[in-house]
Amino acid sequence: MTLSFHLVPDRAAARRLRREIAQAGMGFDRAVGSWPDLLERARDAYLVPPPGDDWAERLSDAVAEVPDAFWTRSLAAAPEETAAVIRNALEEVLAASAPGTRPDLDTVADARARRHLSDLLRLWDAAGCVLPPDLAVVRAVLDAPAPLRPIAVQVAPEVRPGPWQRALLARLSADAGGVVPDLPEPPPAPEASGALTHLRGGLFKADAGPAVPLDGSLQWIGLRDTWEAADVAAGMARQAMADGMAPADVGLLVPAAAAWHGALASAFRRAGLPLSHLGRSRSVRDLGREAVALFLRCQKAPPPGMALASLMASPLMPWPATMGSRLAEAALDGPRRLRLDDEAPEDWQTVVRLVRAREAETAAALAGRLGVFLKHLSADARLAPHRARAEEAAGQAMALLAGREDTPWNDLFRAIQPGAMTHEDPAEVWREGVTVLDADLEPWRPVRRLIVLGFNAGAWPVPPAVSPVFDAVEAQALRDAGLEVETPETLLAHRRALLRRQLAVASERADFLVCRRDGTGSALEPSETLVFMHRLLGGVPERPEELVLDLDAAEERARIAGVPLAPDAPAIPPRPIVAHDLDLGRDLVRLHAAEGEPPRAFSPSRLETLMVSPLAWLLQRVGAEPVAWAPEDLDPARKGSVAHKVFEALFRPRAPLPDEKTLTRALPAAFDAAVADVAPFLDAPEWSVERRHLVTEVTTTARAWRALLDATGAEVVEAEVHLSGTLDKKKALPLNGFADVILALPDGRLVVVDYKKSKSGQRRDRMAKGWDAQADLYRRMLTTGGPVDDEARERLGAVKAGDVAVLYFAMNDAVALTDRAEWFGGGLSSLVGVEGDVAASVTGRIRDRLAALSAGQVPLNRAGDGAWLEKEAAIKPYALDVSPLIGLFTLPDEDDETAAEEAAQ
Amino acid sequence: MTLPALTVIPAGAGSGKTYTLEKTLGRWVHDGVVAPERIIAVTFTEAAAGELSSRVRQELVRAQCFEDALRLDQAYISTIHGFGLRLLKEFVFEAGLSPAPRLLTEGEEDAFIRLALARTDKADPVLRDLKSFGYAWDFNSGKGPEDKFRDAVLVMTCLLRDLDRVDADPALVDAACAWVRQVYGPTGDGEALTAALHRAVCALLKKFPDCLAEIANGKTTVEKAFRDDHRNLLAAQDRARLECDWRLWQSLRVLRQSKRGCPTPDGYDDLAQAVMEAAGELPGHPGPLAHAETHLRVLLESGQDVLARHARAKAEAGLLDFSDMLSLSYRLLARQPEVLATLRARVDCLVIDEFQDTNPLQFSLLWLLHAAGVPTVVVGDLKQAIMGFQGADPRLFQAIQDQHPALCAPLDANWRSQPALMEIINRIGQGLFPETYVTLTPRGAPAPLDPLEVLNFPETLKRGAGITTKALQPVYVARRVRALLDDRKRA
Repeated sequence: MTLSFHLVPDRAAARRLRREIAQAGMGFDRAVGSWPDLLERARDAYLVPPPGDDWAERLSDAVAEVPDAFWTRSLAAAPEETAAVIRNALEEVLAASAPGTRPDLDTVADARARRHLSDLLRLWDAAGCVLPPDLAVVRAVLDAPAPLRPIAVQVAPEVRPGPWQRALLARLSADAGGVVPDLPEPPPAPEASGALTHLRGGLFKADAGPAVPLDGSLQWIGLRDTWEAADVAAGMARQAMADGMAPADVGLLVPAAAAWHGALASAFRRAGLPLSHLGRSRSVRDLGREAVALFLRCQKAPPPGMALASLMASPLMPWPATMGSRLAEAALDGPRRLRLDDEAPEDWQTVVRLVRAREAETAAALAGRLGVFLKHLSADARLAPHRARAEEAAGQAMALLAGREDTPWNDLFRAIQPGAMTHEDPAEVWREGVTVLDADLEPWRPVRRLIVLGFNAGAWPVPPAVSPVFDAVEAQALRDAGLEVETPETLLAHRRALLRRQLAVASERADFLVCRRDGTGSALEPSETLVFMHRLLGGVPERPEELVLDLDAAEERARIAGVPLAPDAPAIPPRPIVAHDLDLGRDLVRLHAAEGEPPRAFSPSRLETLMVSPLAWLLQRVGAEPVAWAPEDLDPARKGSVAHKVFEALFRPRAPLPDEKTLTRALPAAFDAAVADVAPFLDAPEWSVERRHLVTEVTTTARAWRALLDATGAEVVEAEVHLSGTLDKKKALPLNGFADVILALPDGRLVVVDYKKSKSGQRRDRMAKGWDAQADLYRRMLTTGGPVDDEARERLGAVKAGDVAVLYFAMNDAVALTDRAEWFGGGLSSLVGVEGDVAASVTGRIRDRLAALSAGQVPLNRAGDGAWLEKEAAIKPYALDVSPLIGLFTLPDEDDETAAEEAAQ
Repeated sequence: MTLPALTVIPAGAGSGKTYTLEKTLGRWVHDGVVAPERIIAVTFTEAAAGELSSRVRQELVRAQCFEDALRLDQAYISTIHGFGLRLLKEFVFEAGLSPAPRLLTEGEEDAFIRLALARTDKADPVLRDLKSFGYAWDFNSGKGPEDKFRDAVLVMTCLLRDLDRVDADPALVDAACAWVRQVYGPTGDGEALTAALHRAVCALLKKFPDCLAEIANGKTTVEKAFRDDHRNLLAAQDRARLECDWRLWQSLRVLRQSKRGCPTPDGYDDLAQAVMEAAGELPGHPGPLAHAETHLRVLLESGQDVLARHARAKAEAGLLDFSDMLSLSYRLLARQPEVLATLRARVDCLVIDEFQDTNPLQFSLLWLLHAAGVPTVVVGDLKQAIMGFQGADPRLFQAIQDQHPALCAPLDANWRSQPALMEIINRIGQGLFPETYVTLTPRGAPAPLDPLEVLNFPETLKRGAGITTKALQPVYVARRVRALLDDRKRA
């Protein structure tokens, strides 16, 4: 018995026809499908085995064997990409020539086209004239004896069969005795009127007839972007429901880009409207390959902080997401900070040990680590596809490592990268839903209102991609020689015809939504097709783009139909922040302190933060500073840490001052150790310029410091010494911190030193203005308490009661600033004295703020605080940048408030 | 009808440039001398390309050339980078590139430059002491000396690419250094000049070993001046520093001397004058010249070295950057005559908009087509040259106008601005460009608005406490806009 098969261009057309057949009650022994479906049926009917899967492999092998081919140089640069393009080009050429024939080079008039075709045919010969799977099936059917069951095929007019397809159809038809299955009576084309009818009939046609007046059946709406378009479309659909339409009466014609699917799914879900046949596949992160790529990045020393953090936060890690975030934050601070508690599970410990391990010495060792890593990936069943991708990537990496002595890092990094992964959402089946039509598929049901999304340049229709093998002229030359390849012109003609068919499903109105911006904010133009629409209409502005009514322009918005608008309402001004907003009702100075115990000690740097911004201090105190998700940066603080470490190693307490030669000799090792400790990324070649410059800076500074110590006869008695004390005797606010250095002058007097990785200018101003807190607080600790360590306390005990000088050593200009210059003698160009109480203004401000905090209030900054501090106190208000919350909780300046209010009155 | 080989259209703002192009191209297509898909039109922005394409398409529709309007979709109407990218895609195999190139991200470019600099030794003389070559922290950009140096190398690589001088070329370096020597002028005996300054400094410090800050009577700027001078003088006692620290020399060229209300001790001014005169010899010292030569040599040599490494790394990774779209396209057409011939055979005419903003590489790329016989229309306005910071060279447009005065067809009307405003613009133009300004004839309709309004805010407002211009400006500007919108008679 003959099978009736209706060949249609795609799955959407098949859906439409199946529906029509079912409605006509003609379903028995009929099949509807596109080309792959027919091939499958034919294979079954003619007992043809499945095609071999060696086409791609044989072509990829052969592509390198063709000498002096046009792709030879590109193949060396990008083997996989080149092989893929060449394979596709050959497939296109083979599909364009009739079965059993070979393109005749001599009939191709264009020289470049001839050369390219000749090379492709040489490639085909080299691959043993293997056929692509589709064509191999056709070849087998053509060569097969009579079928078990003939297939009678009816071909829809939209199908554009090529020579191989025609040959197959001819064979099927012959075996079916020339029978053509009958079709159900097609439903009447939806009737339309006015401008829409004219557009449906005349778009892209030279002889469209005279223009008709623009009426309410067409409109073009300008809006911001994909997301706004999806929202507006959902609103319009809702409005249509309110006007009495069923969901299926509204159609969305959707561009192929995946971003539209996400935006529409989200907007229509929020609007409570089901969508019929919205694309279900969406792109997802390739977690598996990404995890292996990140692991490999972290195995090459020094591991980049971002790679470490990203790996720690990967859902494929064996720990839960909260632990991943915690570890990622730690990793951003450097690999050494990456630690787990001892009681953490063993598999967690294993992964952290693996990523923290020193660089593997051999490729085999790295392969071993990769194997262990794979075994410890999360066992969550939902991540199974990602684990499979990880295994595949690891296999690829191990193949590159096999038999190698050294690790081929560059090859590994290039080969193992995250790829594109799609996820198919479960099908949502609705009895009734808004009709979704895809840009590249035939329409599948009529609608009353059609909303065309993304009506922008480069879409409706999409222009053909540029071909590196045959350009437009060459493709035409092939066509002229009898090869039925697509040319840009034939493709565009096909796409325009499809657009006409898609528009023809609308009976009442078509709305074209024109985005002004793309996803990156770049400007977008309306579709090129607007010009061809404009010519069909009369009584319209002269320029086609003036047809587009902008939703953001009040006058134009008033002319837009079908978009529900919120009623006008007076704007509600946002509530301003007021001074008492952060009244937290508990003693904030005593946070973390038990009843009866003294408050937790304050460090000088935290008190300085408190001076600038109590909120910044509070956020630091409770550990709520945000961690920047950013790669390593050699900022001044990090440079300062390296320099501090180097100085600590070079100028040891109670050791003789190194002479210049000794210092120069010792510096490289001290620098290496400091870098390894606080800035390991500086060892990567990318940071070589910074590293060299920092060495130069630190060397110059260390020599200057040595010279100063030498000239003054000062001796380093303590370094990095832990001090504790109180702010003053009355309040007894505990202080503690590590002083960089304590010097003893030849006469026995003490100097507390703070190294600063900055120039001296602003610090000097700050001291002169009486706003300098830091070194003075160390001095207070020395005078009210002393070193925490017993031995150090004993050593300094004798001098505790005496006066103490403070000294800043500004590393960037090698200037020492002190409030007791007279102790050092004159004539030193690098020593500058500052007279007066360098902290005169500090204590009062700190006390005021502590009093407010004790009462539970957080004094908020005002907008002008930063400028005031810089000008009046010479303090760079870095503390204001501690968290974005500080900006949000900043009060306006009183002056500005008054001025704006007065002006507005 | 044959097209003229070259048409030059100087066109001021609002002179109907796009209209002229739309009509010209429309006519050529209508007359059958140009096929729509065989037009190359290069504009400065994607938006301008879209507008030109749309207007030509509409013109063709109006002229009943419907099929031509459809075929216009295949024309090359884009930015210069878009044109270069399309060339590289069409001729990717001739260029030997990956057929699926990816655009380099900013982060990747930074990483590549960092790696390339790590692997070259050409930058060593400067890297040894970035500070002495003027690389310092920049508060405006927040960049450190290392970033500033990398930026300088990057600028040099861009310049080299824009000039297509990407291969190592000692002759270029020597020529550049010779040019620096020529510009710098003659120099004297460096050792003698250094010794003289050193003597003058020592003489001053011998008599005045201490800082004079105390005589400033609390005036902070005076105090700072004396303190800085003293520090610099102390530093200049070290002869070795005077042999290499030109910034120190520079600082000694101006010392604080007696001024009204703040006299210096007797004898100080003379000794300071001697120091200033000795330091004033700095421009004749051979040291800074040698320093500049070293700097230039390093930038050129490391620039070329970095370029070569960068190019290899990009090719291996299948990456392209924006400059590649032009430099690789240029090389492709310049070095492979068969590619140029193929392209020539595909093209009927070339239109270059905003020609005044073309840089040498862009010009070279486009002019290859002109030289190969493609009829060319260039449109531009020297007064609107704004891309000099990106290497654009308006002299190219000037030179073309100078060389082909007979082919120039300037547009001397203005369709955009009301006559009263045009009168002001013409006067300003005549003042700014007295020799070259082409007075534009106003064609726009008169408008009810005054051609010019000035809202003048004093620098500071003293009304009450702390009312600032910053706070008031937006309020008054908004009020004025509101008043204009409400003034129906004018609207």
